[in-house]
Amino acid sequence: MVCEMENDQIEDMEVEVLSSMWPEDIEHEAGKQFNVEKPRGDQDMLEEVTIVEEPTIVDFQHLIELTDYTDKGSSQLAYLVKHWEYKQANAVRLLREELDNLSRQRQESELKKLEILEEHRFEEERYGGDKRSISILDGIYDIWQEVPRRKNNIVVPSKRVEIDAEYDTVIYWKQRATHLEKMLEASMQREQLLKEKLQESIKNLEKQSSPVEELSQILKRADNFLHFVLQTAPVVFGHQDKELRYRFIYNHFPSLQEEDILGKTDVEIFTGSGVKESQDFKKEVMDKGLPAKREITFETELFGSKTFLIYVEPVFSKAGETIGINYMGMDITDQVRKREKMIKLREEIAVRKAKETELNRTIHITEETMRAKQMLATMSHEIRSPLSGVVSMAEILSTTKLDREQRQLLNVMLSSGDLVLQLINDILDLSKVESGVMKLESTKFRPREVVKHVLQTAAASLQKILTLEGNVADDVPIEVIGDVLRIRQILTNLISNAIKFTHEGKVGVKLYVVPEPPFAKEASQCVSNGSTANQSTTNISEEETCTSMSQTSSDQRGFHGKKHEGSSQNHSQSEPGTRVRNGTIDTSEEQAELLETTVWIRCDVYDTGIGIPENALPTLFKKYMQVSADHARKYGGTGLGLAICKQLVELMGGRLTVSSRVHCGSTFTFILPYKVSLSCDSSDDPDDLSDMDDHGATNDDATASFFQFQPRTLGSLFSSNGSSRTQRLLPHNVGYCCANSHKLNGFSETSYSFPTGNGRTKEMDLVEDACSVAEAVEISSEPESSFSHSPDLHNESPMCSDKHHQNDVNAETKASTRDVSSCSETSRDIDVKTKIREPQLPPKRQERPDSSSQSSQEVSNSISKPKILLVEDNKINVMVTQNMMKQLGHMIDVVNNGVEAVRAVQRHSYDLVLMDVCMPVMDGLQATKLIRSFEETGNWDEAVKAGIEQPSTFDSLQPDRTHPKHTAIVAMTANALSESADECFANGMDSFVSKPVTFQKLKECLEQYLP
Amino acid sequence: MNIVNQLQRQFIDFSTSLHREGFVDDQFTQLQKLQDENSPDFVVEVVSLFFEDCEKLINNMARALEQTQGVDFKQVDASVHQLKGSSSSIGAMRVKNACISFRSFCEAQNREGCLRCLQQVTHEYSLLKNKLQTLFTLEQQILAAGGSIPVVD
Repeated sequence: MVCEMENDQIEDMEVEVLSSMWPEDIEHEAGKQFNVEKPRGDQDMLEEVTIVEEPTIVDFQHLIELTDYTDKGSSQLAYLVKHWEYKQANAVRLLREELDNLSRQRQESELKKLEILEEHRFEEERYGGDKRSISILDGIYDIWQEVPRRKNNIVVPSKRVEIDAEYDTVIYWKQRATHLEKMLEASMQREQLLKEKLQESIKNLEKQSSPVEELSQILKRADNFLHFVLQTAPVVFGHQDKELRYRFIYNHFPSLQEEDILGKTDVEIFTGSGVKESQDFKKEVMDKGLPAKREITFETELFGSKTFLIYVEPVFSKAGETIGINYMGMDITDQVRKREKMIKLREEIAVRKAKETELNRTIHITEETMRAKQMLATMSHEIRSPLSGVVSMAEILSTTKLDREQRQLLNVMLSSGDLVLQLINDILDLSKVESGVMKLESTKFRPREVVKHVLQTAAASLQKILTLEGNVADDVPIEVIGDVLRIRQILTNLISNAIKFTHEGKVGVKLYVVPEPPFAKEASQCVSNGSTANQSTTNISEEETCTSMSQTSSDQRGFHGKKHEGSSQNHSQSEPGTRVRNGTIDTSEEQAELLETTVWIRCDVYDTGIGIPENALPTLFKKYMQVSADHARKYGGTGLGLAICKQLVELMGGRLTVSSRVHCGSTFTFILPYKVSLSCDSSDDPDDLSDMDDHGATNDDATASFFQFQPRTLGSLFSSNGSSRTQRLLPHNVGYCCANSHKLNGFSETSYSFPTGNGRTKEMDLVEDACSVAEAVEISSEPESSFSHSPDLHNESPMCSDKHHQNDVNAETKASTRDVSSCSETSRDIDVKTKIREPQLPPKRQERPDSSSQSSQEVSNSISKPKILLVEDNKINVMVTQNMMKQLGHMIDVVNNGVEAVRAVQRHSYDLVLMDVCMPVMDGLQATKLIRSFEETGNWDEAVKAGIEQPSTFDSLQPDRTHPKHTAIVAMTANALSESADECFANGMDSFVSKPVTFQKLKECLEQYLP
Repeated sequence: MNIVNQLQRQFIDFSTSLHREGFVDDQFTQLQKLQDENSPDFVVEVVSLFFEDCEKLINNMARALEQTQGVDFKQVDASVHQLKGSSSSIGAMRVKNACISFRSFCEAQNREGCLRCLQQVTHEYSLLKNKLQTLFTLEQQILAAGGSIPVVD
């Protein structure tokens, strides 16, 4: 029982002792870390757990040294000893108490014995003399009084002695004596028993009381406890001495043997990143003498990449010297990884949020910009309409009789108006492209024609002595598909730019096929397979064409080369050859083309102008940017042109680049993809076909590869083939003024043997002559130059007799047009040039063949009245338009919606339909689509599908008309924004007039569309 | 003769003011130019037609916009579109401009805005009507006085 009590106490103390073995701040951190349930069956509890004792590697000797040397170790030892002493003392005290107890009992029993003996003597005395009678029982009673009460547990046999015999007899005394003797014996026995117990107790005490055993037991328990707790904890702890050599280490996942670790430093044990750091950290702690924590990431061969949170505390000797460190490391790789992931996530979130706000801002800005642009576009549009009114009126005014001063003023007015109009158009175009509403059309066109027309137009307005030349390589297809309007716009822009900055020399255009450029390949690689397949076919076909005309291309190259060298006369030698091949190639090309392919055509616009300094190149294509403010002043312009060109080219999937040398000239190059249509032309464009059949001129026009426009002299007299646009008019009188150019047609067409170059050279000479004249007097009126041409015509006319008639037709056409226009122009020209010496003319207008030819058209119109249909639901609009038409000399039919329009077209064939777009029942777009469908298929199935009855009387449709002719349909749109124009074109309309319809607009429209 | 001159001057002044104040634009001038011996009352005819049309359309729109809920903006828009077309055709600039802002409110389905615009259109319409009536009266007076109507550019 005593032992057990002691045990309890010891357990209590053990706990305290153990806790003090731990580093102090761990205890602080976690409070009372070892709050363990009192292990009543403590050993049992731990016995159930199998403890692997291997992980601990202890240098025992050092441990003992440690306990001796360090404060903590010694205090701990002292504590243990003190505790042991206390325990022993306690045991001794208890034993002593027991001993006291026993000895007192012994005293008492001896005392009793003495009394008993005395009593006996008294009895004998009384028995002898003194006869005083004392009751024994009374006396005994007295004795009992002195016995300590608490010793109740000691069994004392009853003192009352029953004596049967009669008092004071011998028997009585004898009996009494034996009785007492028995009592004594019992007492003796008890004493013996107690003595034995004492002995046993002492022995027991002796057995328990070895301090080493006690201590080792405590230690063992602590050890077990530690193992139990740390069994699977990812911790390593240990002690390192002053030199940072391991003296003790606990590692749950040991990968090294004891001898590999003990007595070695970190650096000696493993290598890799982090090792050095931890070593340095430990050193630092040791030097500073303050505990510290740090996170170190190890990257070692031994255990891979792991992060440890390391706690290091210095260990001091009793003298206060640092003799080593304790360190504890915990593997926090996962936590670190998680933490890093969290950080990364947080960062990402932050970045995303930032992006979002950025994006929102951008969206906001974009919206604002879009709105601003829209605004600008709307404004520009609103400005354009009245302005065009002003300009058109001025134009008309210019055709009236004016005196010189008035004309001069008017010219200034016109050129200013043109400029503003151009600027507004530029702004509109730009905003269209930028806002993405610009839609590209795909129409078939002839690049040669485009180049020629653009140059022609430029030549017409040329006010400098410059040579304009165009050169289209033979490998460029006759017809390609693209947005001809835009391409024309780009070309016009680049050429007018070139002209603007070129004061002498020439401006030219070169067109040739190039292989697919790398930028397009890059782009197309991202696109789906379909397009790549397309490309491959392209390549093949390109190869085919290459082989089929390898000779040509090489020749062509030579031709180019010569041209490059400069003098425009050079090509006269190579010209005939090329020409000949042209014809053959055309056919072979047409045969080779079986599929629709893409062809990349490069266009160089070169000049011999002032050039562009290198530092200005980067900003060249920026909006409102010009090379310098000085240039802007000197040359004017808005700086929008190139930006538009670039945007348009890029919109079409091409590239616009520039190379330039100051004072030598610039070359703007754009490469664009075009579709090449391989289907037969005839089905698409019957008119064209008939043209080609009837008049070789068109064909020639399509294949001509070189155009040249000499300075000013020949304003509209171009050296290449004549236009065939107005061929239908029959000749009244053969004009000779510009027959020269047509004659060339004849040559090229009829006899290949005849060197075309000759004609050209002659002409050129003439031109040069004229030039010199022009330079001298600065006058070059057309009649003069044409007169000088006339002998040529006479000389050569017999040779081209077979085509002569046709040429005559052409020539006549030209003549008639020119007759009309040149009369007034000539006089005006002279006026301006000689007197004013300020050629401010916008000759585009003056030399416009349309305006003049139209006058003759009107004559022909009056003969057979054209039928015009107005489709408009607004009564007022109808009234106004009708009246205007009446003024223009036309009676018109009026219907009120698309359905009625379709019905009307079913009944009559109209030369022109003016179609409102927004109408009830059926809008103009759909009606147009239906009419176009009829024109294509020859039946009204689409219309029937749309719910319009087939006309019962078909008589109005000429039975011979297998191919219904193309009805000119002009949209009348109230929508200011240009996308509706695109919509109009998309639905097959030929053109559009924006509302309100004005006299001028109607007139222009009629001029354009009535034959 | 004197009175004719006076009337003519008045007419010119009045026309100029109409142009200046933006009641009519060049389109109206074009209309006037279209008027000749063959159609002596062309302008009056067109303008009367326009006013009739206008009144009808305004009534339509007012009815449509009366609904506090579920206004048929499409119908209103169609009417405005028509009105805009007519007004631009006769050159009634201020009515046309009012129509332009009207349409944007229609597109936004803003009933309040539409009502405001309708009010404005009605206002402009009646103003124009008054002005043109004055103009026509002047014309008639000139004609009655035996003068010819001067051409205002």
